[in-house]
Amino acid sequence: MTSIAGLRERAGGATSAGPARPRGGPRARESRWAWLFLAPTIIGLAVLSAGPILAALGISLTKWDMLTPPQVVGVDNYVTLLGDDRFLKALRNTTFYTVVSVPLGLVLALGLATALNQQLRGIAWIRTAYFLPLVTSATAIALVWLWIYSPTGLLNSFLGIFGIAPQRWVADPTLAMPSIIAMSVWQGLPGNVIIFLAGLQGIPAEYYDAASVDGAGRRSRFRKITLPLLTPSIFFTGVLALIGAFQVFDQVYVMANPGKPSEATITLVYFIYEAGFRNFKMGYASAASWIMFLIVAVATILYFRTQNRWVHYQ
Amino acid sequence: MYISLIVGGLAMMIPFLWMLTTSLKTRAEVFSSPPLSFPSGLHWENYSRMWFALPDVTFGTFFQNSIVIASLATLGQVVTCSMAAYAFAVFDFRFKRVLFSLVLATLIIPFQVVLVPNFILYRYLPWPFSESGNWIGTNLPLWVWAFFGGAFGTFLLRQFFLTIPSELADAARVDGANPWQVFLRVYVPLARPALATLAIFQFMWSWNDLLDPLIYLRDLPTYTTTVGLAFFQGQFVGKWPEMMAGALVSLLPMIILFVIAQKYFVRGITLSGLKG
Amino acid sequence: MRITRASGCHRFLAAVAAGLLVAACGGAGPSPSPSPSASGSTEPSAATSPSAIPSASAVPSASAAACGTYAGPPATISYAIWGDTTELANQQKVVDAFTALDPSITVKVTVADWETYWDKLQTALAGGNAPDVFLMDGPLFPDYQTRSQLLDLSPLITRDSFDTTQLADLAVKDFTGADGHLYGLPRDMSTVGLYYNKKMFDAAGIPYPDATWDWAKLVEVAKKLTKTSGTTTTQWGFYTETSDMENFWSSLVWQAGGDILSPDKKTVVIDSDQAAAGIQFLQDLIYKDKVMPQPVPGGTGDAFENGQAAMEANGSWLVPTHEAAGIDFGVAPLPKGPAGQATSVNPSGVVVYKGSKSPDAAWEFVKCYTGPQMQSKIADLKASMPANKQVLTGQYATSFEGGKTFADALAYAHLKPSFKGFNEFGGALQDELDSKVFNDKQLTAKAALDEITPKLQKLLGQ
Repeated sequence: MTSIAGLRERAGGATSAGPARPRGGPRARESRWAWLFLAPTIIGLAVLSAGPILAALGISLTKWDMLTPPQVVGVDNYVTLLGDDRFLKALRNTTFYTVVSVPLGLVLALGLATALNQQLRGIAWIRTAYFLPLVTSATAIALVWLWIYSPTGLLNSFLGIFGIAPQRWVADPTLAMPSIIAMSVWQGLPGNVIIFLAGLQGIPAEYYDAASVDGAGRRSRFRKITLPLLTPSIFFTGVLALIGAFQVFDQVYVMANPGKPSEATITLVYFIYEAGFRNFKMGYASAASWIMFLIVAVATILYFRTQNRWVHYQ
Repeated sequence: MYISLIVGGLAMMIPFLWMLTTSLKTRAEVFSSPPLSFPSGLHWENYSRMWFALPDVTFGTFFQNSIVIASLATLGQVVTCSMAAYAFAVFDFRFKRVLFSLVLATLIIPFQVVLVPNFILYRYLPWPFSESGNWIGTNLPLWVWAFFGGAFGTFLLRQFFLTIPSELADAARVDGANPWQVFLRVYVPLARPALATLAIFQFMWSWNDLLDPLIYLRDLPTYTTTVGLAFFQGQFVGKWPEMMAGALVSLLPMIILFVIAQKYFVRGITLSGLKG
Repeated sequence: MRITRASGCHRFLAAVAAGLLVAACGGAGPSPSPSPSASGSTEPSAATSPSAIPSASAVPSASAAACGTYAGPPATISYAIWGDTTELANQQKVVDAFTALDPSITVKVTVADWETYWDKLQTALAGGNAPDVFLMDGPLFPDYQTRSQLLDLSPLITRDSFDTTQLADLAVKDFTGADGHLYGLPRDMSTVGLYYNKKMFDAAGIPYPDATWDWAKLVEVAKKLTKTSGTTTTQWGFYTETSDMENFWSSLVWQAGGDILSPDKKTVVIDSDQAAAGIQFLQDLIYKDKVMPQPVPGGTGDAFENGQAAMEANGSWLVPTHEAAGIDFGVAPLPKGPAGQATSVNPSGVVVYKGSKSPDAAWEFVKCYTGPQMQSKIADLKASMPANKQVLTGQYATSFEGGKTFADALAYAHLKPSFKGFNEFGGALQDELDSKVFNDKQLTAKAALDEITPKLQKLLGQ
């Protein structure tokens, strides 16, 4: 049966280059150098990451509008948050967004990467076309999609050809979030495709050759070679996508500009921005951000735990 | 398969094509003609109208600001991340693993958790040259952080440094070089591709950032392209030709950058050594 | 100090509330009078500094030397407004007139759209670098005043003997803090009326709207003026903005006999049957009568301005925009509701940042802004109704067709609700209405209001 271990033997040994390790044990004098090189990063960690997280916790225990002195209210903010409709909506929307856009984006990217991985003429040009959304800002993209989704816009005209009635897309409560997801997936595709492409190109051709000799068909090769060997890339993109999805802001802001996002499209980051910078509620915003932090941390840890189950490192 | 790829590629380009055609139509035309049709005449004046629409500033100002800020942030990241990556890759010292995990862990932190505290930090950091006396209202919060390390850059470069054989460093050390010189003369030159990749990614992220400039910049002439475009959008509701002209113009620098630097994007990911 | 009275004509003006006779006195320009320090008196007199700009013929000269007496060091102040680029150009004209009077003060004007304006303001206040002078909306005033962000102007008003009765009373009330002091001066006001496109009415042979119209009449005529071709509507009989209470729906609530808050501002009463009836009327216009375009988030653009709607219920600030769009329009009072006539009035005022580095220069600007010369410039622009009573009932009311309608509307206008926390309250209420009643027909008005009122009551309590 075709298996990776078997293939490796066939292909003639490990193909990954082992990292070069410096020889020798710890050198006291040199470790001082290490700290020197790390100084900026350590300061950054303390002042811009660790410190602020703790500070956010502290602020979340107060009621503060940034203009008058803060009042300590203990866990009040958290209690109120859990009963706040808009927050719960934001939570629901963000979760829905994450749960749908991440897998969807990964699957599409995988398919696309596989397709683009062929040695075809002009593939470089085709790739450029697919990669364009990567470099454009969310603002510009959202503007374009605003029009695509507008009542008289591209999508409705297109559907009109098939006799489908014009939809309201972003204005429609049920279609709003899916519309934004479609837009984000479209924008995120190139990024993931690149990563998968790189991963695909890292699979030695010998594996495929050996498998073909074994009589494995295309689909079988994909399932037994490509997919398993791509799992590190999938994992990597998955983590980034997961974290990124929780932080969706730009698209929602622009889609609602110059107004506010409706209940159907409000996301966690927007909620926090709104509470802190529009409604004078910094404490409340910090509490919301801490809840978010905990959710993301738990999700990421769980995700890492599953690593052993399906990620195949060489 | 090939055909569908091409069709797909064209489909991806449709939004951009649409931006172009719309930007060249008159306002009335936009509503009356089908979306992807060609404009009856090339109304380039939409572009000049858009360019000069805002008082005191043009999109040129926004570009300038974006370039300055993105460049500074890129410089900061390239320098400090490579330094940190070097330390992690080459030295052994106590707490190395812990520290590296901490650095990586910052990737998980949603930026909105630190949003408010960072704002407060900048509020109380003095800056005599600004109107407020502190960092709010200046562009400092948009790039100074970059000189204090970053998770992605450190991770990327460490992976790359790990692949550089230690013999080269040893040879230099035998010649009497101290670690800083080894860093500068051996590792950095060899890491040019990775550095280029980091630079491109960071430049792009800074360029496309909306939230931070939105919060920290106050005056229109200091706006970056993203905020400028959003501001523009607020002023031109319903005026599609001008808005599309604005969006298209704001996209151009990034598209050009991408076309030039395409290979670095792909290479960068490979270099991050996803196997570990 | 005593001020010379220039002419009996002016004394007469002071006695008459609605100065319909300004035209008769129109030719009287300001005459110089000695006034070493700025003075205000209940009797207006003609006085300006010698370097006064030549005023338009219809400008009544009123309270003395409020402007042009700044004696402090040269200063540059920042002045932030909301609006669009047209508004910016307009305000720049007003500012230029000010600079002519007080050349040692330079004013830098900045503009942002409504949402961005408040975001930026809060960030700037939190960051400690707010503009010296900024525009303040009546309803949002308490949020800023109670947080000690605004300069108390009462001492300055007394010091310079500025006469606040020259400004509309309702408007002044909106900028008074709980301690009875003034923390801002109203600059202008807006009321809501019914614009109509004369050409479309003429083409259909329908007489123009007038003060006799009621809701039923509006629907009847709007239906006649709505034209469709196939499934697309080529002309709408009516258009309004649903995204804020001020544009139309608060007037409907009042016209139906309801209200948003109880008079003591402690109870939410918008779920009353009458209030719901008002909002239901608007929903019906969209979905039942189908005489206006369905709203979308982000806006569809002003159909009336684009020549696609025959009527528009909206604020007086749209006058220059409609003029610029080349629409031949008139303005009628809003159609009456079941409980009678009502409209919304919303003053906006200029306030001084408490932490301003040039408070005197800022105050000088604010003072001038509400004085007759600047107010006259505001009337010139037609974008808003001057808070200065004389300029309002004189120049503004007569300067364009519809001016008098707007000015007269003050008599039956209700102030837009104003209290601490209004932003979040208004946001929640509007959100509910937008998502369930206006942008999408999910609930009836009453059902939506019933749903949201508990939450609103909770917000009110905070």
